[in-house]
Amino acid sequence: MTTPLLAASGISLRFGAVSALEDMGLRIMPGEAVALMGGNGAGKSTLVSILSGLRRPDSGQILIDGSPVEFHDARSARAAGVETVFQNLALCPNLDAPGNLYLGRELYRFRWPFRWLDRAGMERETRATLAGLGVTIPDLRATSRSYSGGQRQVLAFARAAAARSRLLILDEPTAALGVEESANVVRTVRRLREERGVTVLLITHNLEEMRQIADRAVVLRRGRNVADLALASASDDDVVRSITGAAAAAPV
Amino acid sequence: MLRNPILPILLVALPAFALTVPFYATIANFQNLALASSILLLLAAGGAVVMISGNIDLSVEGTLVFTCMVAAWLMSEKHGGSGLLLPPAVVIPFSIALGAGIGCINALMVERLGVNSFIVTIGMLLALKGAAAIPTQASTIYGLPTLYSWVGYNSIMGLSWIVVIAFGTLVLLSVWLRNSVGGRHVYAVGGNRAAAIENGVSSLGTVMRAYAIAGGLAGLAGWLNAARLDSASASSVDGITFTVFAAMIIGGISLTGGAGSLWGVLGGVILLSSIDNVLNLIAINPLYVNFVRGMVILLAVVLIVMRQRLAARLGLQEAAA
Repeated sequence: MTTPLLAASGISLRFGAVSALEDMGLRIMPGEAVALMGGNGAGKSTLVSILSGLRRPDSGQILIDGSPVEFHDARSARAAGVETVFQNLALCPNLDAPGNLYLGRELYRFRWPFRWLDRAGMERETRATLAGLGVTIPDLRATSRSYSGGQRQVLAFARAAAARSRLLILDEPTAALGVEESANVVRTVRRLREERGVTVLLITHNLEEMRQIADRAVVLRRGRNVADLALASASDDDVVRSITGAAAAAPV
Repeated sequence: MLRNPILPILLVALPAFALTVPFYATIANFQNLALASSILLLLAAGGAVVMISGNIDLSVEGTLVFTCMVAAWLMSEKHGGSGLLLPPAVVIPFSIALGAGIGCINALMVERLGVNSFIVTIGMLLALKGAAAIPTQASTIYGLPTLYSWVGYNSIMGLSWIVVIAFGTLVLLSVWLRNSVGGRHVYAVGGNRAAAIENGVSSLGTVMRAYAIAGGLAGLAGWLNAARLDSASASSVDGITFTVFAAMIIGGISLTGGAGSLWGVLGGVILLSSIDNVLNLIAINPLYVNFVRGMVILLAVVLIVMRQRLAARLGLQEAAA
């Protein structure tokens, strides 16, 4: 039996009196695409912030490839191969495409007297990364403030895919996009899975998107696991009933 | 030209001064102008790094007088000095480090406690200006060691060492800010702090570095200012805070962070110093000085806003096309 790429267990986090996550667990096998579903306040975003190193859980354990990891900040999560495309895209409007793509892991040439930015290197690699994804941004040196919503999404994706990411977390990737741009996102994710075998954790409210990308849906309600459905056999109704909590009551 | 309006303003103003104001375009006046700009330049450059990081530092004036009074107190025995008579070679690095340390305290309160930087640093300004006057009972300390004031009395190729040190510092800081990973992080945190954190940039480390630079440069400016006057007093730069902010804003440093360059700040400093200098040369009634400076600041701000409107309109056309 293969080891799960990600195995989180017993994850709990409280904000004062509110329990955001309670004894939550999540296992993702290498190459799998899992959709994390749930209503507002179900704990999806909290889990994303824990897995990407922005928050630490009160208790629980995270294993990557079977070995325990502790994420102190975004850097340590990245070092373990977990890359996140945040809902807000996490771009700096005053930086250009290479500046955003290498934000927090800038390439540099010399260490002395300070780490000199390798602008040419970052621009070259950015061009190659975008080409590898089959997308283009017309003016790499323009600040991301001037980009369209779709271009910003492309840039945030390219950043997560540029690194040797093992687990790609997508937090509502199409929430702010139009029809054509959303289709582009789905296409890009599929391509990353096929070509590089990237493992995906998708957070979404959109059932269609869930079916287009994921093989399995994990449903959270009030910070707890309530369902784990193989999408080949589960219907949209099954998923919706789990999200709303009608699963037990509703006769099928 | 669209990015920073200070250059066209200078290109119009400086030749106009040179043509119309007697003695403005002389070497002696240039030396005078450069010397008068140096202290302002150091404070504005440090303040600009903090402002680019998305924060504000109102405390640099306080840091300047506090570090300089501590330095004078450590070196002197008369006029309320400590009598320790520490050598300048120890005191100068100490006062710069003290300024940087004050900056770190500012940064900790801003980043760790989450207090608005305006409030933190205005409190720090008052506290430091008050503290600077206590050991000497607000009297001026004269007779500083010759080695300490050496930079105020000596020059190289006609330029005071004070000017050389101030402008050299500006060049180094500007190169660092534009070309280093640390400088890039200052822009990133100022542009979108949450995004910077989500990408693994340490906002505490970055903001602390920015405030430490501002404080350290204020410590450096305190030394140069005392060397220039050959005395230390808690009121030697009263009110310079306003000029520092005017220079930064005229120089194109965004109040909301993430934008601007130190060369723009240099332009702002040159413009404001030139205006003071010209008002001096034409012996204008001192009552008008503040009015004229205020009008210049308002005019520059109007130009900056017009530029932003213009850029936004161009941007809209691009989006529609």
